[in-house]
Amino acid sequence: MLLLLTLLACDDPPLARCAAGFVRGDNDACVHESAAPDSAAPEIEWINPPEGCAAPANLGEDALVLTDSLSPGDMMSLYEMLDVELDGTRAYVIGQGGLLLVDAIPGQVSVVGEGVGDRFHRLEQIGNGFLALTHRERGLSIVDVRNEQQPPEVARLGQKGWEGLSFANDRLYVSARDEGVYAIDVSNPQAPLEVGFGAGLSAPWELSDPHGNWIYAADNTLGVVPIDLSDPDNPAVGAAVDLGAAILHVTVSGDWLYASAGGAGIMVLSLADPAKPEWVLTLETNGSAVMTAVAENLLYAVDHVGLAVWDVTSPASPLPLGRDLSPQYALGVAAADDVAWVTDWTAFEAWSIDRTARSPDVILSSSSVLFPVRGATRELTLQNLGGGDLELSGATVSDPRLTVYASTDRIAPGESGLVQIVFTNDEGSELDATLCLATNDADGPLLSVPLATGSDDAYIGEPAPDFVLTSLDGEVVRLSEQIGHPVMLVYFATW
Amino acid sequence: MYRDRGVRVWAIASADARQSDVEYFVEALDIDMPVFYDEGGVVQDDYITLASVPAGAYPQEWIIGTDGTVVYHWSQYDHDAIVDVLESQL
Repeated sequence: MLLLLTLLACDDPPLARCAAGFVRGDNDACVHESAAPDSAAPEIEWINPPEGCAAPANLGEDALVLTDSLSPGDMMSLYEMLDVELDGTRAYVIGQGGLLLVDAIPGQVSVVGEGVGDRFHRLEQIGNGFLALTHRERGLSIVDVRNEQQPPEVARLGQKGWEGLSFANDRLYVSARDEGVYAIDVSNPQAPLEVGFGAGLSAPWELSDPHGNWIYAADNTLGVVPIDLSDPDNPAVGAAVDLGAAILHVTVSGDWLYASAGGAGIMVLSLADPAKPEWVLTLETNGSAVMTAVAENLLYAVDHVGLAVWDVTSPASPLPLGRDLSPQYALGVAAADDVAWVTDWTAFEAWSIDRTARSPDVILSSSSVLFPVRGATRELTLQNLGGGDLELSGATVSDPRLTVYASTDRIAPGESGLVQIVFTNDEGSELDATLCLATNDADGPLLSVPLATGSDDAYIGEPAPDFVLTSLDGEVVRLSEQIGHPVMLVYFATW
Repeated sequence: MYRDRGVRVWAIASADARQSDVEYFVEALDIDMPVFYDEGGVVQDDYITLASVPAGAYPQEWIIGTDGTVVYHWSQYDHDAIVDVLESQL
């Protein structure tokens, strides 16, 4: 369902990826692979998977394991946790609801303190026990976290539109929408002072950590923008690198920059010339890439739907380790010592990484399948987003009118396979069945897919009932006023 | 996409959730089309959900043709079928 809404909402930016099983067609729309006119895929030789659905005995180690989760019952109600920073075993988390201080020790994750309240989007450590936060409506806040239980806000500066943060040379740099970057002297955190400004940013969401004398802005409209801090009080905004996608976040590590580009994935750029970051390759993400972190040669990424990890010991050849769906909406990540700390909407999670494991991670294209009563053939795509081969070891269907085929029984990392379900229904009665697939994915070796009949006939041809609704943005629409235009209603739930 | 050719694409959130939850969901996923909250389940009462498993199967798509009648109603995302219907209406 998330996939559907993302597909419908996209306006096809140049580098947008099509969903799994879809390819870019002649008219730039995403078309199913089987319908693509010049598809190079050879005719599929369907095989019968072995009958039976049991978890293989030798599952092996999983590269990513969720080990801890703090949720609303354990802490104050925080929604939309957007940013997280680590300081040794202390984690600072912000979102809608305020600031949380957490003991980030796997096995003993617990809340230390809470404070400030309100709605923030970014946070940055500025040393000496102080944090900088940017507020949705107000600009910059400085918070004293030496008082761990109830850290107070001690200063405010700036205005709405101040968002991205970077701490370098004892200056706090803050990006401002439609403006540029401010240099703030925070040597006295209780009295922050604006000391400089550099113009030239458009819709900056975040500023990277320093890389020598440079920081980089993630700008939604301009791309990755280098900012020269050779003169710390006069940040000089340089030439933007347009990557053809909205850039939401940037991380720097060594001479490499990782730009989170939403549906376009993670763009990897070389900083061999720090003034001119150069695109090298793009890593695909399952959902919309919103943040990355790099620690000990591992690249961590969150993309709304979960966490993905690559080994970047050779930065020009990232090696996928694994990818898992998180329970809610993963928006933030920080990492150290092979543990990823993920802010997952209302939960704060620890994920342990086993960098030697080569385990598969299967993603299904659909969580249930509907058939028309007259019978039909439907396909599911299995994608392997992990670091080891995925093996389909068995399949069962619970109704004799169904037959299952697979395009392959082994899917290499990064590849996809198809499962075809044929429903033959001479009696014309309802279907309420289950498909079971057994794989060697250690997170969940048994996949269960409901298969059912639905009827579309009752409403076709009837006048659509009229209604008036007001959108979340305040736009009022009446269905009957759309006569002459096709209207597509997507009725959805948030779970 | 099809919006440029005059198709109205409206996302309607079922009133099973609170409106504030829908707002968070929409903002977090950066959904770019008009989103409506079905307050009081008014739309749901008229557009009775498909009787199938899982109960109240979501998402459901309805396509209303240029003449105001229902031309398509299904669940899941059957890309080919939706494209065929929209093309026939344009």
